[in-house]
Amino acid sequence: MPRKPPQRTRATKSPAARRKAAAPWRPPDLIDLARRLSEASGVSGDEAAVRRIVLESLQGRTDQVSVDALGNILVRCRPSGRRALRVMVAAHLDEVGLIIVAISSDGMLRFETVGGVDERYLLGKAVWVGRDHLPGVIGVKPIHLSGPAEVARAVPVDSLRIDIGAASKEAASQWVQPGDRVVFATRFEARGQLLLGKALDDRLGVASLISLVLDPPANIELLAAFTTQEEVGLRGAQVAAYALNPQAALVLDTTPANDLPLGDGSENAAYNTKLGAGPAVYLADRGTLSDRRLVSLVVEAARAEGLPFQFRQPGGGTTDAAAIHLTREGIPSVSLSVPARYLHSPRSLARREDWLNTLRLSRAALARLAPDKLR
Amino acid sequence: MKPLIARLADAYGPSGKEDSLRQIVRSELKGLSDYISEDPLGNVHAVIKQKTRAGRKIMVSAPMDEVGLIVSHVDDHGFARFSPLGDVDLLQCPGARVRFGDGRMGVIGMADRARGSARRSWSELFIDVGASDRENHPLQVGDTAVFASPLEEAGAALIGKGLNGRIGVAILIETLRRLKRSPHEVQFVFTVQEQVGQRGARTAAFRLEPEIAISVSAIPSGDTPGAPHLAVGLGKGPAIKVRDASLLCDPRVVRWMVQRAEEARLPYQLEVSDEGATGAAEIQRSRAGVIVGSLGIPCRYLHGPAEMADLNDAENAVKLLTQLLALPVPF
Repeated sequence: MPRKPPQRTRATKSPAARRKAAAPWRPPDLIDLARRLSEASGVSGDEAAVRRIVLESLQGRTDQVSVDALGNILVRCRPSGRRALRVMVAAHLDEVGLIIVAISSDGMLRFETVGGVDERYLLGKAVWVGRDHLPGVIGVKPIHLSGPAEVARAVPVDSLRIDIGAASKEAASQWVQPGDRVVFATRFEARGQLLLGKALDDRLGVASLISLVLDPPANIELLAAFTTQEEVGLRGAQVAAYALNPQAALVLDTTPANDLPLGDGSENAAYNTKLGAGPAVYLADRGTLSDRRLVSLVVEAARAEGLPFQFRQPGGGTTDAAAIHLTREGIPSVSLSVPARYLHSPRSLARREDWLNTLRLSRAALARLAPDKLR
Repeated sequence: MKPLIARLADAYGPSGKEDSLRQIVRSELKGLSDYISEDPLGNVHAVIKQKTRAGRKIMVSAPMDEVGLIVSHVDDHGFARFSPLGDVDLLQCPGARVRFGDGRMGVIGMADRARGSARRSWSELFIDVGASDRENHPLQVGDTAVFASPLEEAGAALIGKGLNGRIGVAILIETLRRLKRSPHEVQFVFTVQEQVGQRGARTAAFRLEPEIAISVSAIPSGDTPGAPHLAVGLGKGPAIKVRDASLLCDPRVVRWMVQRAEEARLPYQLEVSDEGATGAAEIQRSRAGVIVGSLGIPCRYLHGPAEMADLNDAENAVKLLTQLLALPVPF
């Protein structure tokens, strides 16, 4: 299917002038923004739908917006004072998912995973294929016809197919082609503290970053990067950091809360983070040792504002900070994540307050950032 | 040189917390270079400016940090669970004493001792600081510790923690002291975060833009019973690296090092290894590429509480490095 190439650059000359002409502007409702972002398809390498939502949200509200060669959205927010620190804040647009690799003669779609998808989740799931959310299902032989041995056995990905109800390759090809990305078909739910949806990793961070860009801290030059291809190796962040050339970086992401009790009643010593315990501050993960001055700054900000926080347990995992902090001459970096259960699955679960406190804490930390904090 | 090595090895400096090393390095180097600076990640650069037109821009680097442990959880009974910071040797951990940044001591214990030491994972080890519950516990998530074992002598051998990087730091400082004259711009770089993946070397190389780079650090020694086949041993001279898991050294640099060692009648060995990694691997791919080589000091029991290296190897490395930097580069 022919597709229009995504628009690559956008610059708005005078946001102030536009603001006057247009109807009174109101910041977007964060939950509504999270819903649209969560339900959009944006598997690594094809983040266009998510990019569109971000660009629409920023339309006419910021100084300089551009989309670079890898599809990162880069925004520069001018500071009000001089000698302001150039601070990159990054959140990734992409999500883990599937990619169509072939269409069989019987109209079934072969696929592979993109990023760290837990294959145990795939069986029997409803999916959306391509940018237009074509519905499909990852079919399994019905239990009526399966023997006990078959039911007990895990099914490897290469024997799974997506069924879109097409009877032949020709029929399927009208709708799908190899390379189309596939996401879990999950509607976003928000009720009370509950946030439930796909791709909360990292659309919660994306929504937070939009909110920061729409009302940037005046003391810093905010360099926002909505990055691509994080889930396949922090690829967008690497070039974004090079282009923005910041003096410090904050990464907004999500991190697993593996805080459920253990089956044998023993103490869970490897929970990573706990749901409801507030924003997760990174100290050390596989790719980054957080800059200690920035960690102190975040902790100070939390204490001063009465915001909860937790240290994410040092260990594995990475964020965009791993790519950013090694860029050019080195960039002091720290990550701040929303704790969430069941990440990289069809439905992750987070708490509204953990998310909003993460946004509040990032804002409070950025507001305290001055050149002398990095001496 | 021994007191210098002891001072460096005994200092507290796990990856990311190299402050006291920066202090020692800066005080040792006072007045020896044209300028000293620090970069955003905390590498220290001491640079001698170029003196002749034939000179080259040569970066010489050594890591300041040591492997360590980082607390991930304090359990109900007051034991601190931890993750390794860097490539810590798990088998050398049980029973080892550790020291935290504030001087607090602890010992590493192992769960379920009856199972023996085979196939253990980090989740089975813990740090005991003498606390009996979580209340008012002196440690919190993110606190870091290093092995606690002051440098000792055993004949010509030195035994201590952190020799891995610090022996290279001592070699660089001593070389800078003895280097009376050089035709080159020599950039002595003391790097951070080497033990977690040569991170400091990478960003330092971007800033300094060298043409040639030599990294100096300890390498595994192949001369203990049942050691992996490696023709490198203690006391047989500094090892000129040809290859390791991360790097193929430029053959011109290998020949240059061999030539200068032979001219000066210095002992040397050649390291051809399929394990390990050194800063030069990151430097090689900086910007448009850098010609790199590496000098290794053979070291036993790496990444444990009692690494062993030979003082003569360090002395000879200083002599070789001084020769390399005092004379023109032959390519």
